[in-house]
Amino acid sequence: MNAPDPFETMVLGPDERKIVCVRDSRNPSAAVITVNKEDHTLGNLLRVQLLRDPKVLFSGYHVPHPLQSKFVLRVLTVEGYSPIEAVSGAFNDLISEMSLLEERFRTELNNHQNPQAASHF
Amino acid sequence: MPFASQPVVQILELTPDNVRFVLSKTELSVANSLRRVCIAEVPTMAIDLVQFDENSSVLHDEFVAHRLGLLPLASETAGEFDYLAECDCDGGCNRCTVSLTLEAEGPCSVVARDLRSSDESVVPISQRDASGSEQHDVVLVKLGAGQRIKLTAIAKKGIGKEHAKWNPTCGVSMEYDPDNKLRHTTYYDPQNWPQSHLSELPAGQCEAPFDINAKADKFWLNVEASGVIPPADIVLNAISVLKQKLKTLADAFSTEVSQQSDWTQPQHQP
Amino acid sequence: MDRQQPQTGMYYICGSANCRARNELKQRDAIKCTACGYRIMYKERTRRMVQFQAR
Repeated sequence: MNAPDPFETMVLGPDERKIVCVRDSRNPSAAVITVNKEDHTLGNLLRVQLLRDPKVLFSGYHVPHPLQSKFVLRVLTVEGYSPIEAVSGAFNDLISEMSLLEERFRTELNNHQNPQAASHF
Repeated sequence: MPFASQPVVQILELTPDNVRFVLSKTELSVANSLRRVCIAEVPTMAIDLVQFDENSSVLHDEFVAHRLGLLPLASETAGEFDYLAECDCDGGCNRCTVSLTLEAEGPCSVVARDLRSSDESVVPISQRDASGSEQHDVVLVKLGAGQRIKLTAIAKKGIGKEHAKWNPTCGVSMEYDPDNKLRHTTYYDPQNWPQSHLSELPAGQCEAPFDINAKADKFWLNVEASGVIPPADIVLNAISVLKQKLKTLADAFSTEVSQQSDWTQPQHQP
Repeated sequence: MDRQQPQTGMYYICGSANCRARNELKQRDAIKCTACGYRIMYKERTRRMVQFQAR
């Protein structure tokens, strides 16, 4: 009855930005990033990738409410290293990981479909 | 790419409706995101709107419309379609929608292969397999003598997040840490838990000791397709969807950050 | 009792399986098929286009 429309989990509202970055007023190396119309799929992926960076001190995310399609990511870095740099780096790392994964899955698929061609590997 | 994982893939089994593979040297979050995207964000085609001209069957219009929505339509070409909301047209054209018509008069069973599609690549999957008999087709409604049904169904591109009818999978399983050495779960009574077939423990032992330094980095995945997209393509589409989402977000992020010039350098407290 | 009677009635289909006659019924008419006397009547299906979301 009062359930939100299913498209509301995907389409940005009229005044909504995809991503909103807010600096912590007290700590220059902390940022709170709100990502609209995304869920745990990207939230957790990004959180874990940020933690692989040794200069990231803290990275965590939460979904404020299950009916709100957004997640809030908080990043804390060491002094002199901007959380923006860390997040951009995490994006680049994940994109390159996906490219590699795609390539390796394709290679493996070809090997699996033509075992003769793969035997000399 | 200083901190990127270099994932390794090994396909164990590939059948027309299943792909079983091992994903290793990556994070649990990557494997889980891949699983989530396979289910909820790989686009397929499904009937979303039904116009009735005639229906004297025993099933009411809404009932038939719902059954049509759940009908699997071949979706290998879904990538070539636009989403209706993003298409330039006004409410539907051949780049964003496919229309399927159905006209039947009883006595008969109306089955999925009675639908006539405007696009030969988007048809109920039962029309694809020549060997399949009508007895194994999806029955939409049974008509008695003199009962008639006539309708036009509009199929659109969509994703499982919006409605489960767009989900291309029947089940995606992911397993890691078969001997529970990470203690991501605690067994009240380890003896009575069924042991994973992937277990490497000697006979008689039911759980590995807790290893504080261990990290989940090997994932056994199985993607079972519903038949609308071949299983390996579901995984490949999922990877490219995930990559595209990350690219979109990375672009939005750099735009957002460039609007706040003081963000580029870390500010030090006065 | 000077309420105006509507000039045209509504059409109903006789509920009897071997009659199915189309009857015009006006206000205060007896609900009874003129062809067979059956007292169960069905509404006609609309001639408007009907559209449903398949979900």
